[in-house]
Amino acid sequence: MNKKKEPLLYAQGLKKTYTTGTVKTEVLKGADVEIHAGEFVTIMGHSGSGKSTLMHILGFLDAPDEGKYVFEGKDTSKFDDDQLAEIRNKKIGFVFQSFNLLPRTSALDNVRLPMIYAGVPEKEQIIKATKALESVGLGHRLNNLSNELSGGEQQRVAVARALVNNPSLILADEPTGNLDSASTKEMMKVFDELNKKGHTLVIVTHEDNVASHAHRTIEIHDGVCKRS
Amino acid sequence: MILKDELKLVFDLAVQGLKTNKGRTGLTVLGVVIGIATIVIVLSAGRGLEQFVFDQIDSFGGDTIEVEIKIPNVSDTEMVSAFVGGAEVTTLKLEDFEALKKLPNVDNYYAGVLGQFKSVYKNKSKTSTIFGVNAAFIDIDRDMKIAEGRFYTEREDKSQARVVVLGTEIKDDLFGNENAIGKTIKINQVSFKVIGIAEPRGNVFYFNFDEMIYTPLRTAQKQLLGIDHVLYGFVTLVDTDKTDETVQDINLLMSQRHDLPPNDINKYDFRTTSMKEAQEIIGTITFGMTLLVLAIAGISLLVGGVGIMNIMYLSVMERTREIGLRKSLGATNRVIKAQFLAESIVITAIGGVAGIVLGSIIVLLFDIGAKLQGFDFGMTVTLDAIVVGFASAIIFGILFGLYPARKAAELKPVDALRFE
Ligand SMILES: Nc1ncnc2c1ncn2[C@@H]1O[C@H](COP(=O)(O)OP(=O)(O)OP(=O)(O)O)[C@@H](O)[C@H]1O
Ligand SMILES: [Mg+2]
Repeated sequence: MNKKKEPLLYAQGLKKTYTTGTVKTEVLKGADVEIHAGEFVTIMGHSGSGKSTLMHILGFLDAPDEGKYVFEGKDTSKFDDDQLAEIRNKKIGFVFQSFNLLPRTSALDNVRLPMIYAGVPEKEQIIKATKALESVGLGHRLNNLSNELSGGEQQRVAVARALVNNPSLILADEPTGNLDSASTKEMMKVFDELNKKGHTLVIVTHEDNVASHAHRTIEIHDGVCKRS
Repeated sequence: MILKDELKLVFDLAVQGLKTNKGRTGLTVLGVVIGIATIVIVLSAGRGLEQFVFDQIDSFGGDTIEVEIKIPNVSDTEMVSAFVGGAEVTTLKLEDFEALKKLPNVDNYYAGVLGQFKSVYKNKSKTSTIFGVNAAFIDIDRDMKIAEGRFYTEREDKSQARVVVLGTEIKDDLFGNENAIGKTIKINQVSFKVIGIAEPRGNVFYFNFDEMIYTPLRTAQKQLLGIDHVLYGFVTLVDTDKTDETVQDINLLMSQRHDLPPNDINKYDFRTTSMKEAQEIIGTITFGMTLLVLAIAGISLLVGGVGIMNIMYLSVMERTREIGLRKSLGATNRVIKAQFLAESIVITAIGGVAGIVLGSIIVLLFDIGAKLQGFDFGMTVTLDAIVVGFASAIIFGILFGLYPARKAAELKPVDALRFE
């Protein structure tokens, strides 16, 4: 890895505290992260350690209370809602544990959604969505409604959706958490291929066999990140 | 170009959003349908009623002025009881109308008297209204038509000819299916020859024209009632634009002829009403009624609107995770807001169209039903009912969609995604 190259993103001293009633939960206590373009990184840590919280911050779905987050050389703290929406749309592909597909909507239309928000012309949307679905091995399921697909297939649709706008970073929060081992294997094959094609991947997981696919693992413990 | 694309995008998103939530969409649409149908019905009914009353007045002649007897220095309500109690005003004469006819803007007139008498033909008898009116009546009253035979002439009136024209009901009562023309009936022991049968006309206000017997004015005055005054008359105008001036001219001439102070209407023993004025008054009343009913419809629509808002709000709540997902995929606040607003508008627009159709069907059925009952309201769905109905649908869509849409747009992506 070329250490002199600018990282895709780096964060320093990220803090996040949740307040429920009078109870304050300090989840991140000054976490530092650095991800380079082309990396395949997993984030691990016990339940409640703040993995999702960190992913949400890295994916611009949430903002840290304190700390610096620089993405593609830009300090992100001053971004307004519209800029954040654009980054989420063009630079980030997010895969959720619970798939989060639109119900009663075809696989193709689900994958088109980020392109719709990006203002891609309709014909191009269909071509790109088809390609993305083919690349995750779902070329034969284009017009199936999301609820007609198996869990593994649904998650692959979600991956196709995440990569279709060709983002700089794909974030996946326990993407195999709801999948059986066969589907997990297939899922990981997809991720490996994406990484080989140059996509930067950050995946949260509890499973060592998932983590074994990555270049390195970031361990969250006691609100800070450790390289393991 | 950008705007057009965005509109299409938002519309597509809205349609997709509605399709994925079909059940709730249907329910909301139903609420709108009922509200809009009510508006269409109320507006059409108001119009129909107004038109109905107008037509009734118009049948007396929309371009006429009525001159009728009045008790001097007595209020309208007291006068009714005075007349019921047997008070008589005998000062209004046929000669007054002859004089009025000479006014420059007066074209023609008819004057009338009324009485209740028993008519007899063979072994059948019937008490009904005798309407003594001069021959010009047939020219002036547009809804008076002869079905059979003829109406009497001016000359027959002047010579007090004992001829009658029968309304259809009284004809049936006395003659049944038998031909009546040329036959003689007795009214109050006096023989009259039947020369014509009127076309059925039905009720106009309190008058049932079909049970009426028409006879020349002078015949009625001299041979039945023994009087030389009249109850009322109508004058027709040359130029209806000068109605108000003519009313003044009539008042002046009449007060001169009756030796009354010209400027004190209270002291008059007659009353002058232009039908135009009457139409205006009734127009105001029906307008007021329409407003009232509209207000009621408005309230019910408001309740419906709150229902729409509720359902839209529920929809936002239920779809919180979906909104979070859309935001995570790059939807801006504006696009989210526009989508939910568009959904609300699409719902109300569909509901609006369906409501207009439903309302129109009900109006048509009501009209047919009324016609079967003998009331020709001529109730039709007016263009403004459709326009107002559709416009209120859209306005309600925007008004009550705005708040939930804003709520949706303001959701933070991570909160929305974590929402259970
Ligand atoms: N919106 C919130 N309000 C209050 N507390 C929160 C909120 N979101 C997260 N938390 C708390 O913050 C802590 C970290 O949550 P987070 O979801 O980041 O954990 P995680 O490492 O992803 O856990 P898991 O492996 O179970 O997914 C948890 O204790 C959680 O209860
Ligand atoms: Mg988590």
